[in-house]
Amino acid sequence: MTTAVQDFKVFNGGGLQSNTSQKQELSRTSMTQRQDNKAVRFDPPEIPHVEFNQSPLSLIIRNLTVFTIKEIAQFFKTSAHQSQDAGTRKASFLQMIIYLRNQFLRLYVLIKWCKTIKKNNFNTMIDLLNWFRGSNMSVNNCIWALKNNLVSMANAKLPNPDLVTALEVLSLGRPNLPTHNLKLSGDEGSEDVSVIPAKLILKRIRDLNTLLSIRISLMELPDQFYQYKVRDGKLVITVEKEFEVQLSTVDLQSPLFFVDLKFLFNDHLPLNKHKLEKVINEALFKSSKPLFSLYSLLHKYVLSLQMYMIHVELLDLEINGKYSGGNLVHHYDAKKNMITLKYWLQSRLNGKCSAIIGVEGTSGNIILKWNRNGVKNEHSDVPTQYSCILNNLGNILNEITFNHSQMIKAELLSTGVFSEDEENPDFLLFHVPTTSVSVAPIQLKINLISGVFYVKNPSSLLQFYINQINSSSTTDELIHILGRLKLDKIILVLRNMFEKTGWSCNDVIKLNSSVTQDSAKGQKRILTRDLFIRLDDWPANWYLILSVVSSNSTCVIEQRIGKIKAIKGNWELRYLDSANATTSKLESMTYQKIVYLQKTILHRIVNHMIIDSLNELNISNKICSGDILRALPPYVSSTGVNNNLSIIAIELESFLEGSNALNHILESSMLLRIDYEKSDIKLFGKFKKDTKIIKYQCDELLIQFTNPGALSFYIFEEFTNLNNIVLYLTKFKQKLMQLVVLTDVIERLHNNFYSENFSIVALKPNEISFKYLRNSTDTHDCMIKIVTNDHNVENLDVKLSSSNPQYIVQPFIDDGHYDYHFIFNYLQFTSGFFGVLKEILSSYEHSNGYTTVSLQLHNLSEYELLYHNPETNTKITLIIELRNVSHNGTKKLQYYIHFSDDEHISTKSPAYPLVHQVRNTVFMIDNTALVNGSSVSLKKPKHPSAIKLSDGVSCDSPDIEGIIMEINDILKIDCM
Amino acid sequence: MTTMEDHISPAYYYYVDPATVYQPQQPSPVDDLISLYGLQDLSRQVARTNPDGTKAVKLRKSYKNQINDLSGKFSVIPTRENGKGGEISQTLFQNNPDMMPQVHRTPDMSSEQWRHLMMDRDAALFNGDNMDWNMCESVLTQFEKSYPAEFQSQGFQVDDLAFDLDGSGNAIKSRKRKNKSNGSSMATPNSDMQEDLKRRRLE
Repeated sequence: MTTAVQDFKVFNGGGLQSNTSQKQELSRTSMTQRQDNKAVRFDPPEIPHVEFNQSPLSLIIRNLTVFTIKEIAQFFKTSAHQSQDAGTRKASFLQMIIYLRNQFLRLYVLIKWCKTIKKNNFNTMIDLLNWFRGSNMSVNNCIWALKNNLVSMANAKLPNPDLVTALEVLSLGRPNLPTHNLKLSGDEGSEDVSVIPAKLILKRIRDLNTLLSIRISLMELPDQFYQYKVRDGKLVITVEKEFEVQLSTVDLQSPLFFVDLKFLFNDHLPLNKHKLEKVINEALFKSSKPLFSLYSLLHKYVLSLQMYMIHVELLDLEINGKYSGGNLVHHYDAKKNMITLKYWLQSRLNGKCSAIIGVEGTSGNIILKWNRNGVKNEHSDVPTQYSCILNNLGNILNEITFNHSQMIKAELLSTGVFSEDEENPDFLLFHVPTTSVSVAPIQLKINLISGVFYVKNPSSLLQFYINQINSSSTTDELIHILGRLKLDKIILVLRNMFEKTGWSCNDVIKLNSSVTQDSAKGQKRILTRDLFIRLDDWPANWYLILSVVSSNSTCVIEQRIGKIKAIKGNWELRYLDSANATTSKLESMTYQKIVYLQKTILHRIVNHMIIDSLNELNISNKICSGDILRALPPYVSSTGVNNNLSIIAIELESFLEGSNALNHILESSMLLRIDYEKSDIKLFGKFKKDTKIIKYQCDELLIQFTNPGALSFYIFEEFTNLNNIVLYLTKFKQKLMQLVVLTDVIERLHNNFYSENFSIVALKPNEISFKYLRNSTDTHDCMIKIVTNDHNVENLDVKLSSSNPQYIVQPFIDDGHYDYHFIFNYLQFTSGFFGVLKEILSSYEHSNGYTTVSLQLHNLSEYELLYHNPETNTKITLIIELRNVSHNGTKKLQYYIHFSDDEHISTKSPAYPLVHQVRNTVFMIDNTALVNGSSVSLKKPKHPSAIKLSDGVSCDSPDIEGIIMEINDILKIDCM
Repeated sequence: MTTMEDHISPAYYYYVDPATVYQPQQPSPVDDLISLYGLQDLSRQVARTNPDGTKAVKLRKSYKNQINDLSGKFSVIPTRENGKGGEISQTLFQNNPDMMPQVHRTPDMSSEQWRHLMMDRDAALFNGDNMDWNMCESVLTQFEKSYPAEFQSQGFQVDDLAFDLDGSGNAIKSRKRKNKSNGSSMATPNSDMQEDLKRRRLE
């Protein structure tokens, strides 16, 4: 009951009750209150109800309403008398209304809030709030009182509080002093506990030894633990090469516990024995087979430790040791407890040289396993697995790299490309030609550290190939590279030989495919390369192509002649003499042979070049050799056959580009003979039959007849540059074409000018001078210039000699574009006529008579002979015409001579008698003769072809001279 | 001397008066005061969460939410801060002579008389001496037709009137309706509240 009262008081401010008597009094006084207080004891003190500062809602609403009405009334009162404008008043009215409305709104919201709690007992909440505030305040008061205490105690001197002891007292009920320990351990009565008697210790140790011996003999031991000793109260278990662990125990029941641990493989390892003790003790305590779990724990620990040490050792080898420089790399996988290491990283076998260090599943030891990827199984005797790795890694790696290098050597030796050096088995020998007949060995060795091939004192070429070898991935590739090296060397040797003897090699030429058609070309390990060499004086684009076919053992060189041209940036093989390819071994290439080749090869080149040119010109040709040479006509081979001579047969028709003009003149095949000694080229041909042209020597035609009167001939040219040999051919062709033309023209001339007066005076390839006139004194009467184009005779330019009586018709010939058949016929037909005319005209020039004669030409078929006597002013015009007369069915050209019809000569004219006489004697048939036919007919007529036509006379060419002379004899007399 | 002695070292060692006894506070704050005072019902009513952990009563609906069911369109909530609310409690509550009921109960007054007196105590406010209705009428007639732009110079916003001029209703209400348009057209107060809760949570 007292507490209840006190409670009440505390609640009301925590009042201090110092007066106990008063308390007792109070308890004693009201017995009636006891019942109530009892109830209060179970019910907590009432939460004081607060009503202060609270108003009923009705009052608040009423007050707000009153306020509102008053405000509105106030507004109207003031605004009625103020002279503010309507807008301001309106605004202030509205503002007031809104303000008031918002107040009601607040009230509304307040009511709604209160309604959240049912029964509207919001008062409880207010009471609670009030009570909490009050409680909060009393707590705050306490805090403040304490703080005030602290300030007021500032003067009180107290030692620093001993919190540790205080806590001990709090938890143990007393301070934990050092002396207590001994007392607590139960050694009763003895004050001098710090000294244990030695006897007791020894006894205890002996007891322990016995105890441990019994314990260990009762326990199951792993095999590794059979080496144990019991001494000094400890169980010492030694596992060889791994660890020595010392255990002990207290009595038969308690578990073994850890005493000490030592690693046998390394004395200097720092050990965290505290941690080990914890782990080992846990293993010993928890396991049902404590020693088994101890062994597995320690064994695993040792293995991990050793792996780590191997890792460190490898690191040292890689960074500072002999494999430094990136030749060895390893990856330590601590989780899998495995190390993968790769050696010979910079060698061609990069990635294939590896080994794994790990724990072997069966034995539980660390082993190194060498991965021999890509190594054939035949080396089964070589060890691949190593144990005892720790501190032995360098030796193992040495052995592995040595074995690996031996295996590579064995593999390379098995290819047959290499041979073993008998003096030094580390070296592999590879033979490379130094000259055509000698070879030198290259000593190839594998660097055991880097796995890289190297040679002693390498040349730059060798170094290049060694680098390639070191980057080759397979053995085949390596062999291939060596083959290329060999080929390069051979090429070098050959080039050297050829260049020293004056040949020059062309390095620029690159053909798409090798010229050699050897079936071995596609084979592996056989390499071919073409060498293009030539002599400086060779025709351009012509080369001796040396195809070097090299295999491991032998080397064959094929020689061909070919023509290579660069066309649009590509090298093209334009001509290849595959038929005459010679094959020889490298060993047979000697300087003598090369020099001899130099001398003898040229005519072959030229032959090929000519053949190539001929082929290009589509001329059928065949080179003559062997039996064909003997079958050649004697005129070709008269000079004898030697090596510096080559003979090529050419078909005539194709030589003349299909022209068959000479087919009937010349034999169908011609022979081209090139003499390199004399540097001349001859084209032999033969006429089919004897033609006129053979009689004439034409120097400019270059045509020489082999013998006087022989039908065979040759065209001859000396050459200086073989490059231009085609030019000679075209020249020959031109000459032959001229020969064709000349032969043709001469044949025609002979046909037209069939008289004995005809003779050719001079013959040039395009000019023929000849005589055909009787009694001609000139050097030539007529000259024909032959105008030709490439293939045909375009025109014959006929030039008459100026002293030629027919010279007068030259303009007509020039202008007339006549057929030269016609011209030749005409000239021949009229030669006599013009001859007599010239005679007449010249005779008048020298006579002293009055009468003059002049010749007029109307055209080629009508002439006018005018006799003019200025004394008597008489003119007699004699007209001579050429007419085609049909006579006995054949057409025939005849002269027709008559007087001009235009001028009538009267009987009174002085000239009449002359005209009359001519008519009578020449034109008229002699009647007297007819009368005295017998006498006349006996007589041979003066002009046999003359036909007297009364007013004229007609006659053939042979008679024209006589008739003209007869008329002239009459008319030349001056008429009186 | 003795007094000095007494003053310096009291009879007891520590500065604790052994005669003074302190009693723990009742009720102890660590007790379950709610059950102690029978406040479970009240507690349940104002609980923020139900016993199953779901959200329960939202004790403090926002002001805006509370006035939402009014016909006005409150785009701006009147608060003390924006000057549209204002504090008038001083005016309304105690000691304001204006608010004093100008009636006094004399002992001879019967309850009925007193009640009538109380009912009519403010009637005088509407009488002519306080409220000149004619004047009010004349003042009101001076207010001519208004235009929204008219008030701008006076610093009066038409929005403050909270008139639903465009008929869209309260902004919040309209939004609610829009949300509900695909669901039931029956808007119960409960569903209203839940809708509101959801919305607020999203915000």
